[in-house]
Order: sequence, then C-alpha cells, then structure tokens
Amino acid sequence: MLLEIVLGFVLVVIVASIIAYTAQAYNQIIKLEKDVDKAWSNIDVLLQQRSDELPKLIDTVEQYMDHEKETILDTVRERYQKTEQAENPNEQAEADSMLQGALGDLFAVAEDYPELKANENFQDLQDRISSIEEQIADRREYYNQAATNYNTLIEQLPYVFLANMMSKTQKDLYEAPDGSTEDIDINEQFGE
Amino acid sequence: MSSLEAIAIAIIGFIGGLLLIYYGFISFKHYQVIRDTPTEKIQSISVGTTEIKGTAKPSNENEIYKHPLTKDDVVYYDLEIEEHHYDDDGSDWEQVEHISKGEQFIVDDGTGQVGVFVMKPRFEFHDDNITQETFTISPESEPPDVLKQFQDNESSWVPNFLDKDKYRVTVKSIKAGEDVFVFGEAEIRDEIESPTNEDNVIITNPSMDRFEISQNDLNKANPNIFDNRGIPFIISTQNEDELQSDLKWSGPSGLIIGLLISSISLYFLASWFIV
Repeated sequence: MLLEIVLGFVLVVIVASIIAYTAQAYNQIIKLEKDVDKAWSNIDVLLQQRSDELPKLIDTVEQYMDHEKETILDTVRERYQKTEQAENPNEQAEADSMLQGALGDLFAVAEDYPELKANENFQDLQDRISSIEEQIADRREYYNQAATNYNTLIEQLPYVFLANMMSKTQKDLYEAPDGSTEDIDINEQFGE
Repeated sequence: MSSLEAIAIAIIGFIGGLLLIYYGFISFKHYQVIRDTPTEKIQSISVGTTEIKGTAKPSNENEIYKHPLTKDDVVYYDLEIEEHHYDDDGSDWEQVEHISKGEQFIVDDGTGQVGVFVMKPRFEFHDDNITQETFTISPESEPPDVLKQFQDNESSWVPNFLDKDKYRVTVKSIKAGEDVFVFGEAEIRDEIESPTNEDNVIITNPSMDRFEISQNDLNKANPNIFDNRGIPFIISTQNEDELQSDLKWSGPSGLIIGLLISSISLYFLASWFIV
C-alpha cells in the first residue's frame, strides 16, 4: 500500500514533468520565432531612421553641388525607396547594397566641394548615417544569429516533431548580395 | 526526536522536494533562454529581452565601493555576517546581518556603454568573487573594521563583542573592471533624454517596476526563485559557457534530487498516517 502511494506520486511527477517539458518546448519554438520577427523589425527601425536622415542629407548637398551632380542625388533617392519596399532579407540585402553604393558615391563626390565638407550640418548627417550603418550591420548579425538558433532548434530532437506538427519552416538568413564580398582591386579603384 | 518533530521534518522534506523540482525546472528554462538568445552589441541594443557581455564600471563616483575585506574597488557587494552560537544541540552559525551595496553600474563592451539597474537579479558568482573570513574576537585585540563599522553606524544589528567570540564574514562582489554577463530587459529611461545608450537605456528586471521598488528592498536584495520565474534577470561573473553549464545541470539534478527527497518524505508521512 505504502509502495503504491509512493510509486503513484513518482509517476504523477514524471508525467507532470513530461507535460511541462512539452509545453516549454512549444513555448520555446514560438518565442524563438517571435525573436526572429522582432530582430527583423528592429532592422526596419534603423532603416527608417536612415531614411529620415537621407532627405535632410540630400537637401544639404543640393545647395552646394553643381547641377550635373543631380543624377547622384536622384540615384540615392531612388535606391532608398527600394529599401523601403523590400519584403524579405534577400530583397533588403540587394536594395541596401545598392543604396550603400550610391551613398558611397555621394560622399566621395562631396570631397570635391570643400564648402560642403566644412558644413556642420553635412558633417553631423554624415556621422549620424555612418553610426546608423554600423548599428544596421550589428542588427543584421543579430538577426542571422537569431534565425540560425531558430532553424537549428526546429531540426533538433525532440523539437522537430513539434515543429512539424506546427508546420514551422526555416527562416531566411540575411546574405550579402553577389559582388559585395569580392576582393577590391585597389589599382583599378585608382585607375592604374 | 518526538513523532511530531519527525512529521514536521517529513512535511518540510516533502514540500522542499517539490520546490527543488520547481527550481530545477526554472533553472533549465533559464538555460534554454540564455542559450537561444544571441549576444547584442551595446551600440545597437534594442528595447526588450537582451543579453550583453562587457566590463563592469561604476556609473558615477558615488557608485564605487570598497570591498569590506580586501578593500578592492567594487561596483557591487553582498555582505553576510554570521555569529557563532553554542547551545544544547552543539554549535552553529546564525546569520545576524545581510546587506548589499550597489544600485547601478555600467557595462562597457567596447562598442558602447549601458547602465544595469541591480534589482533582485539572480546572481551567479565565480568562486573568485566570493571571499569568506572567520574572525575570533578577544579582549586584547581590536575587532576588524568590517565588524566595527556596525558598532559605529546606526544599523539594525550591533555586534556584541563581549558575549560572542567568533564571526564569519562572507562577501560576494563584482569588481570594477571585471568581465560580466548580463541577461535582462532593456528599457528606455523616459526620465532622461539622450542619444546614447549609456544614458538612454537601462537593463533591469523584467518582472519588476524599478520605480516601485524601495531603497530598503534594494539594499536587502535577497532574490528567490519566484523573483525570476519568467524571463530571468541574471548578473554573472562567470562566462556564458560556464553559466549555461551550471544552469543546464540544475534542471535534471533538481528533478532527480527533489523527487527523491519528496518521495522518501511521502513514504514516512504515509507510514505514520496510514499504518
């Protein structure tokens, strides 16, 4: 009788532990998925901050640049609109790479305008945009790590069974577009 | 031992065993949350659950303290004093004072700095951060400073050097310039307007409101498992791998040992009431 009571108690605790572990596993899958979504949204927040700074940058630059340089500003405008329209990490990577290229061209051309370079407003904007770019890079790294953790979890035992029942699929990682990771030919850059 | 005392011990054992199972479950949950959360760089920290690593620094000149025993500069310490007693059952140590100092400190990871509000975290100290000394008081010698300060200040406990001869002092601390790992919730400090995370963002306990906790509660911080049962708030001087390893094994060991203790206690309780 005593043994039956104790064994019954042990069985209840073990079953309760299995139920608690299963509930915890379910919650973990949901939480990790939400973390990935949040990480993606947090990149959007910074992209929006950058987008808010870009019109001010363009307005400041327009006052100093020659008319023939307008095409560079038009390119910057067009490419930041594309980043806002991106719907997944791959599209965003592509659009962002093109915008960074346009911004790089803009800052390079600004070197030819000493008055522009000396303008405090321009310097502040340039510093802020650079700071935002660094934070965007950090958050992309964070997004990739969060997505990797989620992708790994839903393929591991015992989570893979729950994930299949919940129809969970892998999340895309943010990858640098083709060409952006190639080595730069310094001689070509300097026209040698 | 009387049968009433034995039943009381068995009831405590049964409840204690269940609490141990619960503690193991919470620890394992904390392990999973820490394992699955990537480390953020402070310069790009976002509001919400966050995990950071860096060097602990004082947030201002008033938030740096001297270690009560070694006199090193620390940003936080927890001091426990035990008095030695002799009684009919033998001798034991009784805790007579327990205070902590250090409401806030800064973590710097090389990309930026952010404040950490020390509000009932789960502390995980490396052995190097725990110092313990036993003092034997005699009429001929001057009592140590760490105990004398309670004679000089207005505190809730005053040592009685005439009556008690042995004191044990345990200090757990976070040294200034030491590497720390923090897991908690990053929130915006609405009371401050600043573009930098150092001033604008603070990491705190997600289960509590930092405006509602009293100064008294902060100084007597003695967190229990119920303070961190959801998203944890952890401050650790162990690195992330060591911390994960400790928490990971707390889960199954809490379950097994708790189950053993509660089963044995239940057996004895059942044998008294049923047989």
